[in-house]
Amino acid sequence: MDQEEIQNVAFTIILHSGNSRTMVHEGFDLMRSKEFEKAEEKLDEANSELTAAHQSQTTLMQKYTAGEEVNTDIIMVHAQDHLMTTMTLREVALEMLSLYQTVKFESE
Amino acid sequence: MRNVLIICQGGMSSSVLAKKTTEHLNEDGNDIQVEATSTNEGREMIEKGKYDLYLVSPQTKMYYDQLKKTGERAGKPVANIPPQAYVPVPMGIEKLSNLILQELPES
Repeated sequence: MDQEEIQNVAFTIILHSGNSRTMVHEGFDLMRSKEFEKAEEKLDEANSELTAAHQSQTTLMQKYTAGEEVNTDIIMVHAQDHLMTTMTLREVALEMLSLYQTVKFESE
Repeated sequence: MRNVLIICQGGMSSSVLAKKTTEHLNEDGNDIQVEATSTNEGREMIEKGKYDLYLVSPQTKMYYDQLKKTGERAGKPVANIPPQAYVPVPMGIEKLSNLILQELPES
């Protein structure tokens, strides 16, 4: 795989992770305004974006396991960073959603 | 020469685009320099007003409204980069170059 191909995959991962991150933040806004169902939908959408990012990564993994040389370009390390931090952020968001719901329930 | 700044999370992926886009614009005879930076620095940069145009990358879209307001205070244009213009292939670079030419105020 040449550098340009690696760059393209990296950018796809960055883009989808970025979309996902934006959605998670929208989810946080919805939680604050107690719109829990909408927040949950947002986090689901965020998950679809993460899946898309993951699929791009999987193509690289498949090439690697098939014996093709895949260079770990610094841009790919950076893309991974985007992907993993967003995945973690979404997990935290799910926990927060349940916390927000509990707090609302107990204050009623 | 006119200056454009791309703002993204860490300023890294954008620096790849900034370099390629500058080359493309210069080849077409435009005296424009594109650079890249992180979100935190980006806000400061808008306040300082050193650049003629600020572009917000798709993965930092959530900061766009905030950056746009900072831009309004500083009297500088801030625009979003659509996902199709954020790919380091010739077509993406072309789209980003066109966006820059369209959004850059007349000098």
